[in-house]
Amino acid sequence: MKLQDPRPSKWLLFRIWASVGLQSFGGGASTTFLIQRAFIEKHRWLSMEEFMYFWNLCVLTPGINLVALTVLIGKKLGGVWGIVVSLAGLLLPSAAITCLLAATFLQVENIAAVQAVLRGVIPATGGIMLIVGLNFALPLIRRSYKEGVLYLLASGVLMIACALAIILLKLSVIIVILGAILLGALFFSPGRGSPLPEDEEEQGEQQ
Amino acid sequence: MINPLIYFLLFLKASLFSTGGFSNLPSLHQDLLANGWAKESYFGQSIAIGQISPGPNGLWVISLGYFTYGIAGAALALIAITLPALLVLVISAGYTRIEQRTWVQGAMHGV
Repeated sequence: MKLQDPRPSKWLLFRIWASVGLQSFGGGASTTFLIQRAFIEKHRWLSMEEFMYFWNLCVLTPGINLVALTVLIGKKLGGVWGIVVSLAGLLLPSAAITCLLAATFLQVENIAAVQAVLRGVIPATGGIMLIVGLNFALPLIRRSYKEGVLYLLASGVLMIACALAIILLKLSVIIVILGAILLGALFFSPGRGSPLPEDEEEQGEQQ
Repeated sequence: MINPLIYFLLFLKASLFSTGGFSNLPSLHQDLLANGWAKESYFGQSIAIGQISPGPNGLWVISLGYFTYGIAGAALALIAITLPALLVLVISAGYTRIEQRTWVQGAMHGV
């Protein structure tokens, strides 16, 4: 596949990112799909290999992986201004709608009918939070399982220890995360000659 | 009273030590409640709104910002989730140099 000359106008770049942002519901997977369709398939400014390389860098970056991906693609297609218009396109329209929804919610919150609906929704959000947590944990548990019982056990102990540290000891979340990083570096560092073959596959599932 | 600077730094800290859209939740939950700047119910509602609104899931923080501190809160939250992503430029510059070290892979696994 021949790549097109990646020099889109800033306005076009903004519009593409805005449409990606506004069309992606349910986050993660659908946004990634839209980005691939727009930049790799439709405009051919990016190859799949480049995309995967960018994505791996984004997984290492703190914060929202998709925002980091936007930064990298924006930089490639338009330098510093490419980053600015890409971020603005992805985030501003969606953020404005989020604000509007939140504002509308505050307006109607106290109406009796809405209160009744909310009583049903609150258990649902509990369920959503649970699924969010499971989505984080399951790929890791599966990966640890592939790596052997010792890893599985260590991952389990680490997860439970972090939960206990936060709930019982009331430790700061940040300290717990830093501790996990340290323990992870000590414990999971693969020995020489045994790289983690499933690494990329699992990273793709994270968001 | 909400101190805008500390408020912003709390959001920035949560985002800086998270990966993905939701993992800043525990840190924000802990800090905002400790300061009395948020109600427990805001968190579930923000996540629900984040799910129905378009854009990356991480934008749930924007409704949390709106609930706790109005438009200013939403704007500060937006900046706080955008800034850490710029670190990807630093990482992409340095990545090839550290890629081979095994402790990096171990550290990622621990997170």
